[in-house]
Parts: sequence; structure tokens; C-alpha cells
Amino acid sequence: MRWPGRPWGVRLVALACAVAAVRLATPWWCGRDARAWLDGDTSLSGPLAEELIAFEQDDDRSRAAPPRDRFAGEWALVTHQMTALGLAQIALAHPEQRARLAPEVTRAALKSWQPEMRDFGTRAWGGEDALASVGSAHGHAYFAYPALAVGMARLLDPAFPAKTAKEHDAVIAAYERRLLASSTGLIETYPGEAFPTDCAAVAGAIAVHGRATGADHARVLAQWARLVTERQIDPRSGLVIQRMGAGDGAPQDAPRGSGTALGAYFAGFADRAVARRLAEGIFRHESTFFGFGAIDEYAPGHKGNGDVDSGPVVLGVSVTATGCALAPARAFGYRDSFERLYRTTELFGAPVESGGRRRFLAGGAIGNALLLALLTSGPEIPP
Amino acid sequence: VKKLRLRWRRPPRSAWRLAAVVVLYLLVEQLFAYETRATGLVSPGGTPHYGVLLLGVAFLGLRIVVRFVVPGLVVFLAAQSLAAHLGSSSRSQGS
Repeated sequence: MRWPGRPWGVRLVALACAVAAVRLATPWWCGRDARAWLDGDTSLSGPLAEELIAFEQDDDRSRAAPPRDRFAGEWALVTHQMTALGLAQIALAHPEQRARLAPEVTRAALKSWQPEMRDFGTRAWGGEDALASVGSAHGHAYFAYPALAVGMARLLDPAFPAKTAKEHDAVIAAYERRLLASSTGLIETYPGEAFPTDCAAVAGAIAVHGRATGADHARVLAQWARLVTERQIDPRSGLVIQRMGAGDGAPQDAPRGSGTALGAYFAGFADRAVARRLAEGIFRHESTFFGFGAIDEYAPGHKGNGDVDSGPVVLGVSVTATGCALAPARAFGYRDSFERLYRTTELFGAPVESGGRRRFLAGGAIGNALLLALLTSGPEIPP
Repeated sequence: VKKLRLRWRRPPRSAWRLAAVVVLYLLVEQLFAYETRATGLVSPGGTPHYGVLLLGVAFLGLRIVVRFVVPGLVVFLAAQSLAAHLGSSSRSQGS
């Protein structure tokens, strides 16, 4: 056989080899840690946990200094909350680490509980603080994020402060009462606006409170689970509607991937079947390219730009939906999807490890905290 | 049977250029790692640090080049070189 002598023939063969090599090698390279994350390998989760424990210690030091440019507000709340949830999930999966991690869970959860973290919600409600208004009918669903973190801390830490535990009991009682009174399974986050994702966090907080204290919340959780299916999930796409009217349940936004993916994670704390149903919806909207995976932000027939919920939307897929989908993928055994999503996360997140600590260069503190919680999701889900 | 002789030859200029891209990427990675540790992407109060964000964009651009373009070009150049070598061997055998 004679080898094609013309330069274009040689180039064509070389190009085919190059494409094949990149198709095989690059996904492997980006996804080489995916199996270990799936299997709960502590050589990966441990160093990321150490990074966040060190972050919380630094944050403590900066709080001891005179107030200047403090880490506070919505992003700080989520950072401390997700740190608490991630560390708690590791403690549940590895009980031998519980004694060491439980105080760290409490430390992060208590910070998420501080008034300065929820200033954005207090302002939205015209100065009405969520904790000071547990007797009102206003939803304040955003406060479920720290309430969920505090619940996990109470579940793990026998030394959790009694004063905050009492406040937590009052908040959970208020959420239970408001959710039972709702015919849509929704309570307001801000005046006139309800987000099914935040309501999933409310349900998660109620459920974890029950596990931590022994209180029976079965009735409200069953009602919430039924109404999620009946009122909040778009039957055509399987995604939840991002924002709805709290009273009438009228859609105020499209069915979207970011809300569904984060909602699936939060729903997992409360109800396995609801979380699984949301996961099924998400993975119908996975886009793949060259071995990499990402989740579409908008259901077919809907269009929109990125916002504070989704992060940037590029080629129809969003950062939040893709990152948050790691949690249900891991928890419900979508192993192939998890690997594809992890490759994308690794490529753009850029994890590095040094000095026994691992962090994602492109994510900052909030990215590290989110990924700790999402990449270790599973142990928090009731059987 | 003619033996396939592999002789050391000076790498082509394109190989040096690819190596330079990889070295540049590693340097930018170190710089970005340092800046995200020392300064952060945003201030504690939430104000973006635009210099670090810009460095991050450059870093991610270089990361994509190093993960996709560089391996592809390395394999392309190696395959082209090997194919040309095999082609010249087969032509000299046939003559």
C-alpha cells in the first residue's frame, strides 16, 4: 500500500488523529477526579473542607477587627450556609469526623444566622426582620437558607447554643404554619414574589428540624410534596417555574434549570421522591459537547438572559444549573451525567491543591462553599 | 527489511511556540492563584476587583487553549511528521 503522497492527504490524517486525541484526552484530563468525588473519596473532600474551615477562621479574625468592608449580605449568607451543609454532609458520610467537624458546622451556621447576613431581605420587607416577625403571615422564605444550616448543626452538634436553638424552633414553627396555610405550597420570599427553590429550602429546614429535635412535621411536608408536583413543576419540561405569585401560584417567570437544580438539592433534605422527580426533570435538559455536560437554563419555548439566579447563560446553558445539578447527579446515581458535569466544572472552576487545602480558583469563597455542598450531596437525603 | 530510524532532530519552531503557550499558562495560573488568595475576586463587601477578574478571564482563555488546542496541535504535528516519514519510507521502498 502506498501512503498518500500529497500534503493534503497527510494533513487530513493528522487532523483526524488530533481531533480523536483531543476528544479522548481532554475529557479524561478534566474528569480525572470525577469518580473519586462520586465515591466520596475524602482525599478530595477533606482538603476542600479544610479550605473552608480556614476561610471561616479568617472571617472570624476580620470580624474581630473594627468594622470596615465586612463579608455580609446574600452571598455571605449562602457561603456560610453552604459551608455548614457541606461539612455536615461529610460528617454524616464519615461519622469518625463528626466530633471534629460538628463545631465547624455550628460556627458557619451561626454566622449565616446573623442579622447583617439577611439585611437584603429585611430591606425588601420594609425593615421587617424575619426573626422579629415570626408571628406575621409574611413568608421571609430566604431565611430558610440559614435555618437549614442551623438545623444541620443542631443535628450534629450536641453543644449547639440553646438561645439560637430556641430562635430556630420559633422560625420553623412559623414556616410550618405559613406553609400549611398555603394552597400552592409557596410562601413569599419578597412581597408578592415566591420562589419554589426557596420553598424547597423551607421544606428542607422543616424536615431537618424534625430529625434534629424529634418534632413531627409529617403533615406539612406531605402537603408541600403534593403541591410541588401539582402546582410548581411545569409538566412539559419537568422543570420548576422560577418565580410565582405566592397567593395564586401564577407563573411570573419561565421553567428554569437553575431553580430546579438548586431546588432538587434542597428538596433532598425533605423528600427523596420530590428530589428525584426534580432530578429527572433536570437531566432531560443536559446539553453535551465533546464529553462535557451542562444544563440548559430555559425550558424549550422560553428564552432569557442570565441573572443573579442563573449566573452567566452561554449558548443556552447556565453556570448555576450546571453546578447545582452535580448534587442530584451524585445523590441519585446519574454517574455519566455527573462525570460530564464535573468535567465542565473542573475546566472552568480550575481546582488547585496546596498545603493540604483545595480550592477552585475561579469560584472564590462562595464557589468553594457551593461545590463542597454539591459535590458531597447524598448523606443528607432521608431514605 | 529497512529499519525505521528515529534520529534526534531539532524541534520545529511550532513546538517552541506551543511550549511558550504552556509556560505562559502556568505563569498566569500561579499569578491568578496568588491574586485570588491575596485579593480575591470580590471584596468582602461584594465590590468586584476588576483587575483580578480580568486576569481570571485571561487565565480561563489560556486554560481552554492548553486543554484543547495545544494537545490537538501536538498530535497534529506529530502525526503529520510520522505520516510524512512513513510516506517517504514507502516511496523509497517502492522505487
